[in-house]
This record gives sequence, C-alpha cells and structure tokens, in this order.
Amino acid sequence: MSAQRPPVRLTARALTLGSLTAAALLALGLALGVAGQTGIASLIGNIGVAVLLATPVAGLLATWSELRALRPTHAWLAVAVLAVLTLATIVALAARA
Amino acid sequence: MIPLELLALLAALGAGMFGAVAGVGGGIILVPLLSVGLGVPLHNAIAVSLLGVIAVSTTATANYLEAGLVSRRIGLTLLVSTALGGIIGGFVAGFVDARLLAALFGIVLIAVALRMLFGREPLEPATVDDLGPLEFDAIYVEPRTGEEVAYRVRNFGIGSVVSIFAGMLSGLLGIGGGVVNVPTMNSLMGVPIRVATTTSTYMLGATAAASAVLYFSRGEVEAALAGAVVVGSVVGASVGARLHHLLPQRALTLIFVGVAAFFALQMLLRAMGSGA
Repeated sequence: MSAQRPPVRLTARALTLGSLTAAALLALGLALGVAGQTGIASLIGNIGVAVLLATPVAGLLATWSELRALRPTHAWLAVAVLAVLTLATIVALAARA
Repeated sequence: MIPLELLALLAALGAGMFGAVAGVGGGIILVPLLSVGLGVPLHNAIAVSLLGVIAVSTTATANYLEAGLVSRRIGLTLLVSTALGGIIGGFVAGFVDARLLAALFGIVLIAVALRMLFGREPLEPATVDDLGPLEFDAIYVEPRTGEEVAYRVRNFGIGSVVSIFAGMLSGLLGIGGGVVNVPTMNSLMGVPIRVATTTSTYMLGATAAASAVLYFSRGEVEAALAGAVVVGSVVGASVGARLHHLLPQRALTLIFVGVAAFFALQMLLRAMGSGA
C-alpha cells in the first residue's frame, strides 16, 4: 500500500465551485421569479440546473486528473464511471423516447 | 417568497443535513415531504429531489475529501458496478414483479439493519503497520480523536456483485443507492461506518445526475422549486458535513439504522399496495 496520498484539492474545489455557482444561479432565478420576471428567471434557473448536473462530471474529471500519477488504474475507473453513466443515460433516454 | 418554495427550502435543509450525515443523500425524506406534505406532483418531487441529492453529494463530498474521509478507490469501483446494474435493471424491468422485489428488499434491509445494530464492529486489523497488500485497505484520521485508523477491506468481489444488484434495484424500485451502498461497505466489506457514509455520499452525485438528466430533458424540473431545494440542500449539507465529524461512529450507525428501518417500512407498504 502506498503511503503517499493522492491530492484531493482539485476535486474538492470543482465540487464546491459547481454547487455554489448552481445554488447562486438558482437562487437568483427564484428571486427574479418572485419579482415577476418569469422569462429571465426560467432561463437562469435552467442554466443553474445545467451547472448542477455538470458538477459531478467535473468532479470525476478532476478525480481522474488527481489520481492518474499515483493510481492510474483508479484514475481510469473515473473515466469508466463517466462512460457507463453516459451509456446508462443514453439507454434510458432511448427506451423512453 | 411564496410559501411553497419557502417550505421546500426548509424541507431540503433538513433532508440535506440528514442525508449528508447518513450517506443517503436525503431523497428518502425529501420526496415524501414534497409530494405528500406539500402536494407537489410525484414526478416533479422526484426530479427536484434528485437535484437536491446532487447538491448534498457535491457540497458534503468537498468537505469529506478535505478531511481525508472518502475512499475514492472503493467509491469509483462500486460506481462502475452500480451503473452497470442500472443498465441491466432497465432491460429486465418488464420481467420482474416490482411489488415482490420491494417486499424482498424490505425484509433484507431489516435483517441488514439488525446486523448493523447488534452485530460486532466490522473493523478489522487496526494498526497502521498491519495493513495488508490489498489496494483498497486504507487509513483515515478519526475527526473526533485525531487518531489514525487503519481498516482492511474484505469481500470486495461480493461487494461489487451486490452493487450490481443495488444498481438494478435503484432502477426497478426508484430508490437511491445510499441505502444499499452504506450497509454493503460497512457490514459486508468491513469499511468503518464513517468512511462508508462519506464514500456513499461521494458516489450519489454521479448516479443522481444520470437520473436527473432524464427528468430535465422531459421538462419536469420546475425551476423555482429546484432553486429552493438546491439552496436548502447546499446549506443543509454544509451543516450536516460538520455534524458528521462531531458524531461518534455508533451514532452514525444508529442514524443509518433508523433510515434503513424507515425505508424498509416504505418498501413493505409498497409491496402491500399502500405505499407511494
């Protein structure tokens, strides 16, 4: 077992940045909606949702980047997870189309 | 702010805090609160709840990673199995009696919860010098005491197979993965409950995002409600992650057993035709 631990900061920062940006956009959309600006509120809200959905993907990519030097096998598992989840999503979308 | 969004925000705050502590994301609480408590249509409640789970996962995981409490190696390996199981579940959905499956799962979950409650602590050899060669063995620093804790992962192959079934169940019964991930890692694989709950939280974000894309693509995410739920979840998960560090492992086990019992009851009610 390697005593050296892979870094985690990039993944932690990607997750924090993504979740806070999404929450800020969604909160802004909510506030604009309450103020009666429904068109722009919906647009900003949808951008917030898209940012939130992209955040775990960013986290997995950051994990790949951090693990590839010390633990290449596990780094590629992050890519495998992304591939399988993408496949699962496509299969589900196709099945319901 | 209109009352529904305010109530949803408060519900998400509580669910997010609880979900981050127990490693289950919070959907198990949020969906019934939104649908039964606040009258939100079930598919909309599930859609925004999935966004809440992503927010809980990403927010709490950042904290847990910095504290060295997440095993990304275990999480990533089990995620591959879970995702494959989800695909298989999609193909076999038409051939399986979901009510029978719910009944079996509810019974198994009660047995697992009892084992976690009354069984011995699954932690194995526990000195840093005594670690075996398996790559999944690891060390973490117990936040309450500052001591290094070494643990040995066992039954990894069986755990991976169970994770495939977890993915299948997730698709067939519409359940989140945390309620299966945590006992699989803790009771079956010997991962300490503190690491099992944080690693489960790490895993939930990716799987919830894959499901949420489907709801988003069908236009079932109501933006204002999503805003309230995500903001509440982010705040709740931040508090929950800090609380997680303060609670003893036995308290984490008891909290998870409570979640499992509640979930088992939901499954048994569903099997009898009276549950959501």
